[in-house]
Amino acid sequence: MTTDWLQEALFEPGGKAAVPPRRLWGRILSIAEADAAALPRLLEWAQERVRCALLIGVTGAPGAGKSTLIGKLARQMDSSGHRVGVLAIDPSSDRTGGAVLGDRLRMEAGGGDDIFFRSMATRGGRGGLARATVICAQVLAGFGLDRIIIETTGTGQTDTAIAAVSDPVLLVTEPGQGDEIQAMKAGVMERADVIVVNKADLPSTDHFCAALDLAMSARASEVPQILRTTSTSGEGIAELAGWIARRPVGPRSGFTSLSPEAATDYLTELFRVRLRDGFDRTSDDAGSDPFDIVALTTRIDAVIDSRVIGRLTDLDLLEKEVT
Amino acid sequence: MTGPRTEPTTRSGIPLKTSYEAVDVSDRMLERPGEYPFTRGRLTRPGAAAGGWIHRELSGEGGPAQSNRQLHYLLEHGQAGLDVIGDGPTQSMLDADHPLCRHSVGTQGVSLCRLSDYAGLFAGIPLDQVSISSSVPAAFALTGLIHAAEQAEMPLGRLRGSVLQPPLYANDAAYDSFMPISLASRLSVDTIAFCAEHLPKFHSYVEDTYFFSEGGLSAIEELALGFVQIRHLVGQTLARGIPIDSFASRIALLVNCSMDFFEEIAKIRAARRLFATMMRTDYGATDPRSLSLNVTSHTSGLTLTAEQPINNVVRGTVQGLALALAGVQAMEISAFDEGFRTPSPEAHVVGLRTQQIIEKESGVTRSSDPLGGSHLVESLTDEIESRVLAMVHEIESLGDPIELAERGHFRQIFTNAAVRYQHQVESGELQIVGKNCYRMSDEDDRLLRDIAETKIEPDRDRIAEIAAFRKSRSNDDVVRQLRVVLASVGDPEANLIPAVLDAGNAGATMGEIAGAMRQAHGHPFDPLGYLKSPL
Amino acid sequence: MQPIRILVGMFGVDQHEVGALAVSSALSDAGMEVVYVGRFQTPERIVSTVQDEDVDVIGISCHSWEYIEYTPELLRLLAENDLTTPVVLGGSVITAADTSDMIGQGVAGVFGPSTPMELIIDDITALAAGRNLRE
Repeated sequence: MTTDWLQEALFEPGGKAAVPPRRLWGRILSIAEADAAALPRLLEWAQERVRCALLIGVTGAPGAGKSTLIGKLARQMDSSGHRVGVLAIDPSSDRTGGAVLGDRLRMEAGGGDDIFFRSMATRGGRGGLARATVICAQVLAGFGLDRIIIETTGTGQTDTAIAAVSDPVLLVTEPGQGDEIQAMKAGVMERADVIVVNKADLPSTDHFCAALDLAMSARASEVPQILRTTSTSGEGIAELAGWIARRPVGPRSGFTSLSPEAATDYLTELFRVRLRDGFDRTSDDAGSDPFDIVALTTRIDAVIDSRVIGRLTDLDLLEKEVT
Repeated sequence: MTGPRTEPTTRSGIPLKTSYEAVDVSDRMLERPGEYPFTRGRLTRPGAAAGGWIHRELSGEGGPAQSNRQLHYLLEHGQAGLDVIGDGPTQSMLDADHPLCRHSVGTQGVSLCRLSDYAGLFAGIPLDQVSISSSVPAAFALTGLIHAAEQAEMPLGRLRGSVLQPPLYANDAAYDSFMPISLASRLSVDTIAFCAEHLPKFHSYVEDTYFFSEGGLSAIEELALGFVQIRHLVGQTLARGIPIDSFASRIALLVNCSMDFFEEIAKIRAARRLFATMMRTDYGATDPRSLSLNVTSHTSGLTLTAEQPINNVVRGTVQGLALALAGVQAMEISAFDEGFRTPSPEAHVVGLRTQQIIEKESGVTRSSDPLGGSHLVESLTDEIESRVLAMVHEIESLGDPIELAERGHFRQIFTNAAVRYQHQVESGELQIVGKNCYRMSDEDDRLLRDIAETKIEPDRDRIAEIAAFRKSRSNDDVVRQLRVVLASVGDPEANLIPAVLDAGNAGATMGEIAGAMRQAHGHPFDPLGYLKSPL
Repeated sequence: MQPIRILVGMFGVDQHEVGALAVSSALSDAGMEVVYVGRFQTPERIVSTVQDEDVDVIGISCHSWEYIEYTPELLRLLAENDLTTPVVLGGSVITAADTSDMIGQGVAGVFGPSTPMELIIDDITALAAGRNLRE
């Protein structure tokens, strides 16, 4: 049974939340990703475990070198004493549900270390994040990690969900991505706290940064910092890590103070998972037509009415969030 | 069962008609062999006979001494040129005693770590008569050859042979050496510049479209990527102030030869024409030798099957015939056991004999470009030429090739081609005898299996030898010369070849020299994270 | 149901990546999540990836003979870490004799150059289901 070993891994015999052994972390994340029945207990554990962790969102168009940059940034933070986790998200195919998760490949070169790395497929998640991103990040924080880097799918301007769940948000660009910048202006660029101009060894960097400055100056809101890096050689990574370290912890940092927007996303996702699980567990005695939307609606309502899925407040989440 | 009706096309998608006539050929005056734009064959000496090429078979296994015996064996059997490939570690610029190489030393090529290894590899071989084509990282193959020549008291000016320059594609399509693309590109240009000055007979730049097209690239993609790289390296070399006519004749093309007979012939003809017109119009070359492309060739390993290995001899014959008809200057026929191993002595000889039979018995080489004027072949040549040019321009419009390579653009092209090929084979769209049609049970499919399935053991003595060598040499000298390499990389004006040669002469290994170069670019000395930098 | 997760990689300096890439694409088309780790893998690195990524199956693409030495090392290391993740191998260099040898040592499946993709997908699906049954 899944639950027995999970209980043993998460809680001491007296019931106190514990840090499970590292070798089980991956398995526990899978449960956080997919096993709705185990979620309440996982969340109970996480609530007790979680201290303040910085969630660092990294977004940007494909090819800008996000993965390599994250690899270097993670190692930099690791060497300065942080406990680092990475959630790297790639899109699931809408058609088949499959995915090729290749971020690990780009981050791995350079050798093993203590950094925890997990590849996630979106599994229906929108806005560049996996459905279970927040839950998984919370579980990682429960393991005692204090720097959690989330790499979005990198589909560009639609990757706005990252801003609701992470602080700071890094937008990675490269010289020559002028058109992409134009397109992103109204989207994620507005939410970025720092724009990282990667591959800054390219000759067109100065020109690109000047154009970026100009685009930024037209904005009314807070202007993001622009930093240059060359992720392949590591140039500028220490400065980027320093900038993150010096930055005052903002309202979106960590879980003890989730923004209302992020909290809502997180809780509705939790509810959705539980509802779906309840739906799957109820039998379809009527043998109704799966294409009959009215019959499906009736079934879902029945699940809600029967309260087999329980209420979110039963989880005592909100009280603990406040205290 | 029949699939959806589709119009017949070549492998690369050029529509084919059921027959070709004069109206299908452009009104271009029929070109002449040996004359610009050399579509019908390269420049020949006045009065020289048509046909003939250098016969080679890919070789190298174990350490230098074992490979030296293999080279002598091939020369004794009538091979006129040599082609040496390094083992997996050597191709990745890793030394034999690197921890990740413990099970691969000498199994898929020869292990070459030190300059002295090259002297051992080429012992007893007349370096001014035998053309040595090296499929080993070029800067090291070149310095190794120079060292071997110095040991044999052979003037550098008499050295023949060639090295491959794949800076844009090697990491993605073949052996990753973790060199930044810009550094790999610079090393290529350094090699070309050094040879223009010191080794005038040496082909310092073979554009190897063979290795990167082996994942399933079409003929058009193969040539287009090849010309993107040629144009990149020629541009970079010219930017050093080296005149086009001092190095263009040292460029050669190593093409793949797949199973689409006429398309492959047309591809080679189109390549010669494209090269000539580019060198003249885009780069201002005037010396006819700069315009006339040397083509060397390798039959496709991808088309060979692990099933019924003897059929691969037939495939090698068909492809070798296509190459002979296309008028190549050198040829290698992939060994029938390629699906399993590096060539066995038996497969080597069959490959060589296939070439000898085509050349000596079939009579196809008595006249130059025997298919010239064929409506089909001329039409395909024109079509391939224009499609390749369009793709070259499309890629170049996307940006600097170094940036495209770093951004993974080419890797995506290779991956797409591999997936496409897989689909074609799975679906039966591409019929491969013995693989997806006319199959045979494993019990019946035994012919030549014993040869094909014989393994080469990793050369563990070699690992110990290199580890012991490190202890025996003067580390102060090594570190001093590695610092020179490091400083040279930092100096954009410096040619790196002398520094690589000096470091090698001081006893530094290939792995160490490559590590110093990576380190100069801010990359880890050991990309795989096992070794500490001595610097 | 949660998608099957499979690691795809290659041992040592075995570098002919084409097969691994094509198979990864086909497995993804079949609805699996492929954790593509590519070249330069060691048994140690694979075991730590298997733990972090919680894959259901380990797939190794073989185009050199390195797998003959590395595969037993991997099997031993998996056992030492209490991992029952099945290992499958694929590639044309694996002969019939090697296949029996590998299966004898505990490899769960060997796919040759002419194994149809459908069969590979079916076998991996069954192995992944078996893994879930065991736990």
